[in-house]
Amino acid sequence: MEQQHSQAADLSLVDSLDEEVIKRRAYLAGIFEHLPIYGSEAFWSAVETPSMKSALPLEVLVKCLRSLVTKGDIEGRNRILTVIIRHIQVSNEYWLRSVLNTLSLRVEEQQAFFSDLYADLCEHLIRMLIDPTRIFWEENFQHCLRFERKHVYHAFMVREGRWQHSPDKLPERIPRKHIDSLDTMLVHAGDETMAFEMDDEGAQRALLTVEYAEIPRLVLRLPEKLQAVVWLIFWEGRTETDTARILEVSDRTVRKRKHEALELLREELHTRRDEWL
Amino acid sequence: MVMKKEEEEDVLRITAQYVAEQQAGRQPRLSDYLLRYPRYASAITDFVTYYHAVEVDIPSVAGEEVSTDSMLPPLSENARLAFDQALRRVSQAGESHERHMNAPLTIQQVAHTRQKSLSQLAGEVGLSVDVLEKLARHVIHAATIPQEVLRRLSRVLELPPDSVAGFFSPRAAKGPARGIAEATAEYVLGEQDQAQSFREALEESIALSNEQKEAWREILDREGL
Repeated sequence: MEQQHSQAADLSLVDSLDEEVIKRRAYLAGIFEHLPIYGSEAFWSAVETPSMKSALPLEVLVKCLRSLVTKGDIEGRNRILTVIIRHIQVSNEYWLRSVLNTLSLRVEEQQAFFSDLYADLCEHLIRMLIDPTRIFWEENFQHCLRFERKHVYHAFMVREGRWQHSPDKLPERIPRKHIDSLDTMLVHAGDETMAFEMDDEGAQRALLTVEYAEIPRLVLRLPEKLQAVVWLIFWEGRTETDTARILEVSDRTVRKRKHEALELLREELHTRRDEWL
Repeated sequence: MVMKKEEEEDVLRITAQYVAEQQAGRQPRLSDYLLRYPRYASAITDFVTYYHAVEVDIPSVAGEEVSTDSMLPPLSENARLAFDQALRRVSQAGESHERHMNAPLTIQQVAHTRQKSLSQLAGEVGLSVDVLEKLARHVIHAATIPQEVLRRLSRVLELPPDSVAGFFSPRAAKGPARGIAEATAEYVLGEQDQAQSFREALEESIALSNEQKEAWREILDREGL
């Protein structure tokens, strides 16, 4: 009964979201259809208006941009790209700073990384924006931007060796209480098998004591196939059996992935500790 | 894991829904999404993890939820440098790529981006595939095409009418530019040289019904074509 109720709630939620999407599409299409004639002064005035309140939605700017690409108008293309970059620069620069703040960098390194990462981001964005097959940019610009930044972030972290599963990982500081928790468990470990279990237990305990908001950052460092298991168990508080059901794998696979993930996180915590001490 | 563009579009739509729920304060659960879309489990988990780790506190882009009449900031020095560098990289990515980027799209390509086959497109504008193919191949003189065709295509493809008209102009029929050292091609009769009028194409069509032909004849008469 409860499950039926929950499914019904899910369906009504999907319906209401779909309705919003349909309304949004109609709204954007309406704006695009009523734009002044392409290339006219009024057209560029609408595209380049400095007023945020009367600015065209970014999705409409993307449609205009692609329309110019079909005409082979490079100058017009670059003009619209500039407007789009201006609209998103505050958000992008905030993103760049928060990404770089998670790394231990010297001031001069910070500036160099900032410039490199910014150029990488702009390049990815330009390629997506001018690609007419990327339809969702014309429907939900903000989400596509998030998604593209994810790609750039992944590529950057792997290239710079900042992740556990990348070849040259670099350490970061972590709270002392988590490290102590690991040590306590290892001291009591006896034979090898026991040591493994206790390692897991220690890492698991450490993960459970990590601030809730920190879990995603730790999970992000894991290889893709291990992420869901850790997320479901440690973020959603699911049991191993439940996790196995959701992921359509056996309980044994869940335990194995959890062990593998905790092993990686344990190593991560130790590496960080060595650097810190 | 490398995804196809279509799959990435699916993941974009699914994860956009997750974010919409999150922003509406509904506290969505990843597990619900994994149960609903098991095919994309890894990609959804990857995005949701990244979203909570990095994006959740990033401000939305300027212009969204603006209450006062604030002004769009000029390009910052950092943004200008990054943008110029990115534009250079995109341009230097190879002449063929650049040519591809700047090449005018065909009507089939645009229909494909709207997830429509040529026959679906033909159906939606009230034409047949054989006539639409002739239009796409520039076998029909642009000056004889009724404005109604452009209006209907414009509506279905969500493009301005002048962009649609561009599909049928002789410029769009050009092939890639020949390199300096390439031998001159033998003279062949071009498609434009064999062009017929829209009315002739209409009458020749074996796929259009008599009712459809009659409706188009009326449109042609009305537009004086």
